[in-house]
Amino acid sequence: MSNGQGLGFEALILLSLYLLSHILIGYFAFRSGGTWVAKDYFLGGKTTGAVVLFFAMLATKFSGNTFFGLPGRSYRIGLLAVSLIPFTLAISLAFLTYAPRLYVLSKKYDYLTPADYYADRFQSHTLRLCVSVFFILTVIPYLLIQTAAMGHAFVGFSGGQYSFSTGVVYIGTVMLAYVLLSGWRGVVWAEVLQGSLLLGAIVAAAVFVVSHQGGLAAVVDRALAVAPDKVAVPSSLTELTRSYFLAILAFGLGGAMYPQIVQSVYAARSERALRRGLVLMLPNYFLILLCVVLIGMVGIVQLDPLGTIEADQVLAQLMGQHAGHAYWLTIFVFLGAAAAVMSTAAGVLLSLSSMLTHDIYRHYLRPQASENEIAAVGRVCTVLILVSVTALSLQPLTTLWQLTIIKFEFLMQLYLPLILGLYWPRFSSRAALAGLLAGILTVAGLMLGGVSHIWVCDPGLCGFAVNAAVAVGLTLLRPAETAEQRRTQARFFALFSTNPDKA
Amino acid sequence: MREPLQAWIWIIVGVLLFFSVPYFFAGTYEPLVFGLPLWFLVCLAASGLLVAFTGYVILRHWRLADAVLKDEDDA
Repeated sequence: MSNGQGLGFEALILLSLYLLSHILIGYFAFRSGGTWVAKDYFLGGKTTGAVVLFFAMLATKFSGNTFFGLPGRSYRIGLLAVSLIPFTLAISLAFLTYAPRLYVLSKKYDYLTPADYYADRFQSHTLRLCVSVFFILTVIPYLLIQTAAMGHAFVGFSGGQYSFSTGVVYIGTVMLAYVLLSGWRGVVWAEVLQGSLLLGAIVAAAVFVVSHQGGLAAVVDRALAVAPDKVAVPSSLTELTRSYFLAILAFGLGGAMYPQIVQSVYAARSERALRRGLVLMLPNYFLILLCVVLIGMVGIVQLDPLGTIEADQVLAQLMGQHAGHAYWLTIFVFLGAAAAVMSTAAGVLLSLSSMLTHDIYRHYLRPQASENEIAAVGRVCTVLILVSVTALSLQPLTTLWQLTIIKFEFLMQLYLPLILGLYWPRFSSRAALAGLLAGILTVAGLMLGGVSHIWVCDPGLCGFAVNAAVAVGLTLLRPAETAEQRRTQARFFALFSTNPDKA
Repeated sequence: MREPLQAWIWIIVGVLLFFSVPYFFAGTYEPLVFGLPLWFLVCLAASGLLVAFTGYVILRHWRLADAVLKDEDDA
């Protein structure tokens, strides 16, 4: 069903020119040198400063989900989507629990991928393999979300003139050229542009659609008439606890384990740059997510009823309706959505290919591979991943929000061995592996068994509890060998022994 | 040397997160304040305070690398 006329062919031309600029940025990054070496290709030589890191974090964190999945969520649940703000803040909070120590260790021991820390701390090839494969599998849905978001963009913004598949194939092709040429350095350069654009676009869209309705109070007033359940709070305290309070915890723990977020710790030039980049992000979380809530609410009162998956197009359809009299604003928002998709997908792709090459290829297939070979294999992996994901996302099976939740419920299992490894010297290698496997199997078992929750706990939290019980219990019952404990203490904890507080 | 993993910080975070969920308004949208549900404004305010507090923690309670890596260089 189309809710409006939408953008035409000239919008596609503008989009192509805009995306071509990204490819050119990538090309100049390549020409600037250094993108063939693995550390440069994947982490920009570990020299990223605060402002650029901020835009990289902004552009990576606010993905196609910001323009499609989250407004769709807001459309489906109404004003309660204000909880998206603490949901997203929880990711920064969970990040704060591990980033300080992980940054120090990554500088000292030159980590490249998230699995490097696990392998070093626990001295386990099995755990490295397990963690790498697991990161790769859980992040692929995130890439799926981006290509699917572009599919929704093409349908919604064009008023149905272009198909979902057209959007998916189009963005897949552009992304391939962009990431192959650039590596981290080029992607990060482009993210300064993308971050600014997506921030401007989402704010402009929200301000426009709300003011067109006469302000937020007017929107709420109309919503009370057509869908009062989307303005009221659910009556069940159990539901509020499960779907909001505890879900915030799960979201935070899972979201903080995105490999590209972990790698942002490694890529920072200094601790100060990392801190400042993070602080700059915080008010933007508030602003962008408030805009998302407003957009969803306007969709409730302005659009014909949308189906569950179709709701992910709410912003695109709202803007598509205004394309006739607010053409350039609609184009701007469209480009902002494309910027969000490109930036996140590129960051995820780089992260994925770094894990495939460094954690799998180098450690298990070609230990003697040179840096140039690793970067070249990284490019091949990028192609294979993107082609596979593009093919998979041609048929949307579920909402973007549901894909987000599924991946978080698995990703959060990786948080426990990380945090226990950083703060508990006695935490053993066998306990880390056993806990992780127990947690993953619990989540998978509950999901495949169709169990949506046990009391107030969703599968992710159930798995996390099992993970914790096994990991902690095994460590207490069978402590690590003396040699392992001695090594762990010397390499990972002697560094942080108490020093006089320096102001 | 300062790290954010201190009990009092996470107690405050927990309290703010609790107030960002509208437990005290379950089953209703009233009262309205300037046309907006009060529960929405309370959740928004709790989220705003959480943003500010998180920023404070990052700026004032995260000082690790300089102390640790400098000591390593001096050793």
